Amino acid sequence: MTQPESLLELRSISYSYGNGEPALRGISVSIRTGERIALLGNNGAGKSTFFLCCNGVLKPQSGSVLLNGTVVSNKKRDLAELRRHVGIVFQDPDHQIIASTVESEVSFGPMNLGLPKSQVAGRLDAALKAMNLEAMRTRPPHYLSGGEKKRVSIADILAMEPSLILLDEPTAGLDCAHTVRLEETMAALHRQGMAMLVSTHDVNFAWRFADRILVLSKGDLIADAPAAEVFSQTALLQQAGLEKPAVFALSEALGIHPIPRTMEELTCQIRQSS
Amino acid sequence: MILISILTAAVVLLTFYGWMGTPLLLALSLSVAALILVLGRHHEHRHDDLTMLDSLAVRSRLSSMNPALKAAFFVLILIVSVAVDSVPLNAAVIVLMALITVAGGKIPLHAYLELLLIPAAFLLVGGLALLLDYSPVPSGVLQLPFFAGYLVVTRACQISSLVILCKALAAVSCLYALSLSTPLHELIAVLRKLKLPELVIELMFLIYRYIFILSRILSDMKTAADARFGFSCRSAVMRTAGGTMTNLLILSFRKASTSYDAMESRCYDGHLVFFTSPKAVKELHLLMAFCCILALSAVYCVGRWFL
Repeated sequence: MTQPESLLELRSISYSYGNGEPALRGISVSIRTGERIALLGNNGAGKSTFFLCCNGVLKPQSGSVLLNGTVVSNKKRDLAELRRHVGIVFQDPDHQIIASTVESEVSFGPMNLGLPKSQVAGRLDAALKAMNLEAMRTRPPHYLSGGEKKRVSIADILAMEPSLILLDEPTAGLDCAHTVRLEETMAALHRQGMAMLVSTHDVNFAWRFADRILVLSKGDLIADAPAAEVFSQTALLQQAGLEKPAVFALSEALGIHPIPRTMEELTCQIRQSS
Repeated sequence: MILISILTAAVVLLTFYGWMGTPLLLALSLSVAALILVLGRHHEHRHDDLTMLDSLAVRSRLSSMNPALKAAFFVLILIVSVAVDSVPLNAAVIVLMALITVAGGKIPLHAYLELLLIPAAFLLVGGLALLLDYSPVPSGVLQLPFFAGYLVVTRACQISSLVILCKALAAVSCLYALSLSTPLHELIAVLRKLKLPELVIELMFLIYRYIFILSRILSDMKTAADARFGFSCRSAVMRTAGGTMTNLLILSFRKASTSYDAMESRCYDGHLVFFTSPKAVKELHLLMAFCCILALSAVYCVGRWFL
């Protein structure tokens, strides 16, 4: 089996805002089709900057971004192609939602792609269906709840049919029930072959979700490895100010191997062994 | 609210003075004042002025109708009722609009009346000014001594005030009927079809969206300030207001920049275009609009011939 070609590749990109302090320092990452990656890091570690660079909204001051193996230039067409393939779901849906009804909001991306109306309508229907928003098509976004707004902001990106979705703190501000539903949605997207890169503070969620983990600390990428490997390095986690996922720490203490992803799996294994 | 009810009573009293028996007239004006007081009590309980119109429009049963048809219908009636001097026609328009809004759109009656009370204050002050005239000698149907002369109410004043009040109220109810049946974003889409400059249209869309975001933030900040005694005395109120406004300005800049990033990340290239599922013009709705116009014409003709 050949190694799948990388979908998005960042080659030693750096970015700094006006104040001089670099927000990203020479970061290289390669993302393949269908991967599930969690991006961990504290506030101010550079996660949002990283996302905006991945999608071409911010232009890295050095280094290059490659989409399907070709360097993305500064040209409008190249940027549009990058943005079509890599979608960002922003942390606060209110920052993202600009239209006055759910359907016009979700249609914003496909309309910008210049697709014919019939195709926009088709994508709109599919995205609304996937996020279970059909009943609120004509509802204005300001009368939706936080969880519903989140679903709208994901549908926004699904309608553009990207191959990689970047989710910025998707579970922030959601209650347990909504988080569970969001994780189900993400699992469904994964089954469809969508690559996902999720930034989060929630190590438990990261352990449940991700196959691979990136750790950002003060603009440096200090780890890029399979999830089990990252979470077994205590020193690394301390450096990044992270804790071990509860299930992971408990399984390690109990000597269970391989380490289960969820609490249910862990309790199952404990019951079986006792 | 007390002021409005007193004003209303005064205007009703002066407008119809000499047209009917004084006891009947007194009873009429007092009951109108009492009605407004009762409605006004409800008024105090309202929580969200800014977004009330919009939320009512979204819930209106008429919001599924074709917006262009609604806009054309209400604007036509607005123009006619302003252009034509006919009290019966304007009274009919007021009643028809109330019916359309309350019975057709299922807007709660008290909400509709509360909304009508807002412009009522302006209308009534204007009406009072039209009714009263200054004259050095007593004349007209009612005279009140005033400095060296008299404040008089003449028949002509009564009629012109009645005409203008009815006209203004009819116009206001047309606009309310439109804005209570059509969410603003649909009106903006109609304006876009009318080829209003794109820049204005896009600004309208974004402002409409941001009114809600910023008013939400403002109300949160107010609550937070209130919880820390931010409104306890006059100097605190000034300080709180200043701080809130500064903060809101900074926040709105920040939000604007993040929003722009979000729009760019969805391939925004300077043209704000949305897809909306079309709301077809139904024949039934056309027929209803036609019937309304016919009925209003009939009222106008009857008023012309018999009054």
